[in-house]
Amino acid sequence: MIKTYDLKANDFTAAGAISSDIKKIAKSYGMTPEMMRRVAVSCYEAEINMIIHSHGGQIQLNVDDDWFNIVFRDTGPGIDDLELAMQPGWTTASLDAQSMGFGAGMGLPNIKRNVDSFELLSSPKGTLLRMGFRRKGASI
Amino acid sequence: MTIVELTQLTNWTMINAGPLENSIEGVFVGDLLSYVMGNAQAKQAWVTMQTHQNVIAIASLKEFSVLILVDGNSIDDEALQSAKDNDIAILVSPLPAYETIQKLVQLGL
Repeated sequence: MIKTYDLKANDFTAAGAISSDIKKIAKSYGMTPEMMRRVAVSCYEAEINMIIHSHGGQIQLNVDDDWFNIVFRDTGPGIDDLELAMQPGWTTASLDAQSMGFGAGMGLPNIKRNVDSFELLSSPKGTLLRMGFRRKGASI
Repeated sequence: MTIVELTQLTNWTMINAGPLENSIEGVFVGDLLSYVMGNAQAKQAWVTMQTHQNVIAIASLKEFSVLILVDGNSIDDEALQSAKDNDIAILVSPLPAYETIQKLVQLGL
């Protein structure tokens, strides 16, 4: 199955709604509670990253026999330095976002720790983050 | 300890009921949301200073047993509605964070 969601920039009040829906879909596919929590944490971090840092974009869920894949694709402005962005504690979040408890610089490291596959590509035209969860067999 | 037992033992104000008979399995304290997302466990009570709507989303996604707001803080109507929709129990402690946690430790959590 494929499902696509639109996400607006700076829409903090909607944050979590898409992750919550994806978590429900994970449950409907018989994922264990532990796997559902990994999906929820990773999706929420990526969702909030798009809200805080991007001009908005789309999230696409794609489930096949082996994988539960989610692609986060935004329309810019891109991540200047991917290596720095992956370092725990590094953040470019605004002071406003930080005052709400976001921008701890732990989002991308949290995602990487919770997924079975991870791909991050970025240019000024946009960032693509793909995360995958194996539906069967080995787990992290 | 269940949520209803905690409420009776503390007299803290319950602003949303949630699943009262669910057990509380430990406590997590944090205001940095990614720190909470990355490190807290399901069924814990989450103690925080944060009061905006995203707190409810995180409490729901992480499956916390109860959200404990400190220092008499409350949440706005939208966040409260979201808590009702997601069945999240919320207690408000009148005590500052340190004393709130002290109380939870005294109660054996």
